[in-house]
Amino acid sequence: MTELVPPTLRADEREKLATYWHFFEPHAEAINAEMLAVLEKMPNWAAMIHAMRPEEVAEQNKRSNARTKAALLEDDWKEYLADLHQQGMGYAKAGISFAAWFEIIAVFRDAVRHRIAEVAAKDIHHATSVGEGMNRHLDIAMSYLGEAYLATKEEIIRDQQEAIRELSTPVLQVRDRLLIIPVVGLVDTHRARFLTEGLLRAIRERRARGVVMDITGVPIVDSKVANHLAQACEAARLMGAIVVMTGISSEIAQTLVAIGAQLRGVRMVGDLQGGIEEIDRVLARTDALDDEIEAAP
Amino acid sequence: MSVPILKQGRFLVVAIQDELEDGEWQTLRTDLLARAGLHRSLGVLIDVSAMEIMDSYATRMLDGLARMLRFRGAETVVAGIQPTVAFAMSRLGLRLSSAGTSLDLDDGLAELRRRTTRRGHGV
Repeated sequence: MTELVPPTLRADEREKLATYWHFFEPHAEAINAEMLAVLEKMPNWAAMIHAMRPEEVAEQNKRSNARTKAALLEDDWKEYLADLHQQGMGYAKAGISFAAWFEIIAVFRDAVRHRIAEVAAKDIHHATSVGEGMNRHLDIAMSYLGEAYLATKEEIIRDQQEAIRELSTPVLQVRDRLLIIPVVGLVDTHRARFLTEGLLRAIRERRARGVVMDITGVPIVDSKVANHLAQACEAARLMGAIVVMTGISSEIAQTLVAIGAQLRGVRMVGDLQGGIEEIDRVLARTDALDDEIEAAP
Repeated sequence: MSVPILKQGRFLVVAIQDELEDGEWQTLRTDLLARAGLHRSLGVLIDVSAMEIMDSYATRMLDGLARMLRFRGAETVVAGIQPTVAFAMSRLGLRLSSAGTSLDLDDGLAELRRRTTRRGHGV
């Protein structure tokens, strides 16, 4: 996990955070109870709150308060931020929207605000400091929570990309020494590399003489993609395989001509079946020729 | 050290182990062309399975060699280009236009036979 950098605070900001905490601590239990009551009625949070027993909730609040106290009073942010990050990732993975957090913050702000209002008349200066400290605290909390959400989303995207990559480049062996590569989805540089390496390894391991690369499932072919595919075919030919490409749609055919793509040395056949038949024909010819050669006096 | 050239019927077989330098390519060219002439070889099989790298220089040398051998009446097949090498070559756009390619020595010999057989005569 990346190091969480604690917030940079001016001396006066730290003072206000401490002022806020001193004000808040005695009210903590009451405020937590109020929040629970309100959140229980909210669709986003109700289910989760009911999943926990009251003792668990109390324990959690106690620990959370201790961490917050260390952060606000002693400038020790480590555990507080770590816990916040953990929570953020957990809720992000559970599918609770980041916006839903603002619901909680709103309830919290209200709960603290009306208690500040009660003492404001006596000492407006103090009340203002408490309010500012609270705002700073909540801003810090939300920013770290947001970062945690972002980090989680990025992680999910990376995992999905990896899954897609692996999913879509199977190498299938059909006959003795004939491989079929069905290419599905968008082909970027990464995937092209993955695909080509897998293909070449398979040619060597299964001693393939023929390869049919079917691109029916490739929606877009631009000059970069055309290049990637051409390179894959060329590499296969360098290893002695006959390469046939099938499944080029009418749209892609037009695109290829429009961009002047050269897929030299690659035989094109309309569909997969035709491609397999073509390789069978070529290999049958070479086999027949081999027999002739052997039989010759 | 010069690359050993073996004779297999009407074919010559050569295995290149490492990257060759200018002088070594020159020697190999001279030797192969001489031997091809001497034995009236119909084909030359060049095994490169031990080569971990084949850059544009090596590819040019091989392709040039194949063209020269054709002038001497011999077909060339390059056997055993490794997956990583094939991948790198394709990305750099390196081509062997004057020689056939095969997965390994066995396939290479079969390919040479096919390329050099004359219908009804056999090799």
